[in-house]
Amino acid sequence: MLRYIIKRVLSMIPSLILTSIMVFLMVHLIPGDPAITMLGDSATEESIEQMREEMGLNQPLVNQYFIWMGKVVHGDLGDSIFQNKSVMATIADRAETSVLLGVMAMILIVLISLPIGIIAAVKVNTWLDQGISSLAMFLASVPAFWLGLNLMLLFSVKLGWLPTSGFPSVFRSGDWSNLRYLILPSISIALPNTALIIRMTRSSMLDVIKEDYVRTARSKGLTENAVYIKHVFRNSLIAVVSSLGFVFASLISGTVVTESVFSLPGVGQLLVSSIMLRDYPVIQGVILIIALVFMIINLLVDISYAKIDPRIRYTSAK
Amino acid sequence: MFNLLRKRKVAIVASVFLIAVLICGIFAPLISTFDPNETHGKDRLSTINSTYWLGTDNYGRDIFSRIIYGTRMSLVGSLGIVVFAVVLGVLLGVVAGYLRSAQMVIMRLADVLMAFPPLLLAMMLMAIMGSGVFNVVIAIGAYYMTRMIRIIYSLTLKIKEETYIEAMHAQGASTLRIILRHIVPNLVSPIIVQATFTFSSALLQMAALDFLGLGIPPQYPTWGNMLSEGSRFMTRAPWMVVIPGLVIVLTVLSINIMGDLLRDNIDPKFRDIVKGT
Repeated sequence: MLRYIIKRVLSMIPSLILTSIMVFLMVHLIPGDPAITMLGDSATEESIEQMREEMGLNQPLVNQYFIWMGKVVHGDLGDSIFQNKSVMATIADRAETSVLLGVMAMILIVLISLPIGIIAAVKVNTWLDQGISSLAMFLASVPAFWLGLNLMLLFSVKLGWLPTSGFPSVFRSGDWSNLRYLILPSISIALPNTALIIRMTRSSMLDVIKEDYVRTARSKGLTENAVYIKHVFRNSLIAVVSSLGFVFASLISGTVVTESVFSLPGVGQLLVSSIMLRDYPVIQGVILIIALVFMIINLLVDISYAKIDPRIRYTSAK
Repeated sequence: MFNLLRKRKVAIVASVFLIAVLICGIFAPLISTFDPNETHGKDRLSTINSTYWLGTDNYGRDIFSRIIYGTRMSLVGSLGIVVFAVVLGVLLGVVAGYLRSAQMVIMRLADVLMAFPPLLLAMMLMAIMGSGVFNVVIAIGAYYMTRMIRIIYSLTLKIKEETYIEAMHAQGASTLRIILRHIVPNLVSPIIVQATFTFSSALLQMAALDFLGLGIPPQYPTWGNMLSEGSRFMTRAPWMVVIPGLVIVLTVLSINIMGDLLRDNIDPKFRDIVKGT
């Protein structure tokens, strides 16, 4: 197992380097002087000159990359043009909302789609199964932000059950009931993403049902429920875990859009407003951090996948 | 195709709907009742009535006409993304699969692009390129191109092993001839299936980008930017949000139904690869 993890971590390095190069080049691809790009149009002549010196703009591009990278590994992503803060601090302020939102959405996805997928597999080829697959298809066609708007219309505006927008920090106030601000946003991210897991659960359960050991379990007199829960479901989880990487990708996209719908002070909204304001240091920082988080999530998915299913470890260790 | 449709009734409904959408897009000036950008100061935010079939927005623009015209941008944009993804994806995928020397570079590039969630990649590219219709197509298309590269790459590897390709080699056929005459024709049906799903998810991504205000410039009505404007007046005029959204959902759903139908009837040899991505 350790060998597999080491191998998998090492395989991340080229991607990490290439990703950082891409984010680095971003500022240079934008037309105009990179120093002005990083400081905004209102910068003074002196500060631009100083920035040129700092970024090493009169040195070859390769050197500039290493100067930039040296700062990044020390956690220095530069300063925001419009907020009087470092990029790191700006992102740190926003991280809580996005992380909580993502976690809540992920929990919902699992809680909703696993049971429904299991029901569809157990009742395969009945009207219930067909109804579920139609529902999954419908959910996959709904844009998360539109669902969010409709939920807001119904539950916040019409019924007044839940707050419409904003999110007061849980950690600063210590008030966990603030999580109610995230209920509608997390539902609107989760529902469109359940479709994939429902389908994966159903089809992998159906694959496992055909296996010999399931027949053995039945013939030794286990009840249907025991067969399904102990043997079929556990083994079909393997395939489900493998599709989590995809779900995380659309979870991140969903979070960005939904934060805008519900005006949540998260990283996604920060990115959108920074693009509008052309606050390039922040854009660069947010993209780098999200890409990094996404890579680490994929790493964890792969590791847990290998942990559940030893076959993966052996084939890739060869 | 006709026989396939008869087996699945929903697919008939879906294809009729899609044809209707297509007609609305092509004949938008004939079908719409108003100019989509014409403002009616007196009739702001009016509800559904006989003059304004689907109500008006905050500037008093007719929502029905804007949806009809929005069809154009939404369809043309998604189609552009599909063409971009298919052309570059197939080209790079086949080359990477067939030529060992190119494989390393192309697949590494694909890995890097895949390191970003699709919407994030699109936002990053939009931040670099600035707004504009073409830029939207490239920004969103980059992700789908990558997916296409991966699929075509693994399919090409599979086909390359077939005996008839070996036979062509033995006959002394050129690499170009083998690729164009023997590999690409075998890829057509998986490409069509993948293109269908690309179309529907590109439509959703484009709507998301428009909603965030980072997509198609606001002078062109699109389903996405209608939702974006609608969300600010939602409490007073819920139809501004509900109707364009419904159009998006129904269109995407219909395309997905057609995609499913095509996928279920694809050559079983390819099914796992197309399904797995």
